[in-house]
Amino acid sequence: MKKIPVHIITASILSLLAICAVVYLAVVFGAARKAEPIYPGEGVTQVRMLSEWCPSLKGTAGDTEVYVLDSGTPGASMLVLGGTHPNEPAGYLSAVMLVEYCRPSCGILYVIPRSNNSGFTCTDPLEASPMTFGIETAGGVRTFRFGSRATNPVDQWPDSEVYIHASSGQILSGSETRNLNRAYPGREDGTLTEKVAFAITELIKNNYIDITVDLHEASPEYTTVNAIVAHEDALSLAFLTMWDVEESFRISADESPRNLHGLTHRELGDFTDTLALLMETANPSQGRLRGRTDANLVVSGQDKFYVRAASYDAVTVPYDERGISISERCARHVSCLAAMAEMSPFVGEGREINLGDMPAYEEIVANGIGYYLHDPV
Amino acid sequence: MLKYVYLAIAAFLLVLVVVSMFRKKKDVFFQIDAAVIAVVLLLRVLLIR
Ligand SMILES: [Zn+2]
Repeated sequence: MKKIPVHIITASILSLLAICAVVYLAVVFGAARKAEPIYPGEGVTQVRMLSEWCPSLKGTAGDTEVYVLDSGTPGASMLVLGGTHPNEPAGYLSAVMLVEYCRPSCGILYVIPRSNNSGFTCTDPLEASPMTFGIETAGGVRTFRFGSRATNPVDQWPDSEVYIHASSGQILSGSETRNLNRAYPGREDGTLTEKVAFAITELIKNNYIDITVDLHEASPEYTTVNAIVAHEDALSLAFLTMWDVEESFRISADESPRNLHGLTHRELGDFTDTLALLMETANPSQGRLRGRTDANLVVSGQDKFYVRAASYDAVTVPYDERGISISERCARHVSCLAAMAEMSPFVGEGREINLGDMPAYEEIVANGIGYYLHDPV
Repeated sequence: MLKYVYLAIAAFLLVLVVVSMFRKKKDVFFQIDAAVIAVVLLLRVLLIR
């Protein structure tokens, strides 16, 4: 019998190990494609899909749930976008909290917790981000996905060298091709990201959404943070909100730059009749100055390097060793949304929307955001 | 369309890597390098990551 050469044996063993690694990784990465459950609360009257407003999204990773919370009392309508950037967890979690807890008493609330659904299926390269983080609820810990800023390249690939924004001709870096917040108003026959933007724009037009709020987070050293950015038509609503929450916390109101295209607070205001606003909280887990990056940083917002940076005035928000917890960040988003609803009759056509009995900022900070979420099942 | 060109290039590279892993005699470290690269390429070709 002919002897098998040693290098063939080692190559065969290594091939087998490589296949095992691929199978294991396929299971790990594959699990990220299955979205964690969101439990509609008593306020939810209908669960629709985004593809209803752009049929070519059906069956793709861009399709996602649209929760409708109709109070039954005629009034104004509000759309809340969470998860435009899935690496900004307070925006996503605040939207989930609305779906599970909010019971509007006037008008209609629409909530899309995973606006860029595809971005929840991966993490950003070279960021060492955790794939998930846990939130303590009354019935145990619930796990949520920490995603990528952009659409998963598996769903939209490859990127062009430069990204040309369709309706303005604005040129940005090629990686922005997959950034939902550079894709508005979107295109029906465009990339997956442009289709998602198109569907959201259509939803706003067809359902006569009066107010659209896009929930974000940003690095604590970024200048536009703890801020509301508003389209010029929505600026008075932003200022009224800022003054309304002033006793609990400080937030600034900035006007959307007229020459920066593709963003919700610019294009949704220009292309539809909605009042378009965006909110930013400070998230150390996506900051450039952070140290160890794990689920604890996402939830607690405590980072010793940010404490040091704050001592050099390199951080634009108040920061100390207590950090900025996800509950505090969600409390900002949720109480600003309630304030915007409360102030809505003073702008536009005087139509009212009321989010019902919502907890105050201080209550959310004290109880934790998990207190207002459904228990894990 | 461009996606399939990229996938074809990745698949071609994967074949080259695996073939050279079996051809190179005695150098086990070369083979380990090749196996690690094959994992990454295979994940790309199967559109897993
Ligand atoms: Zn963002």
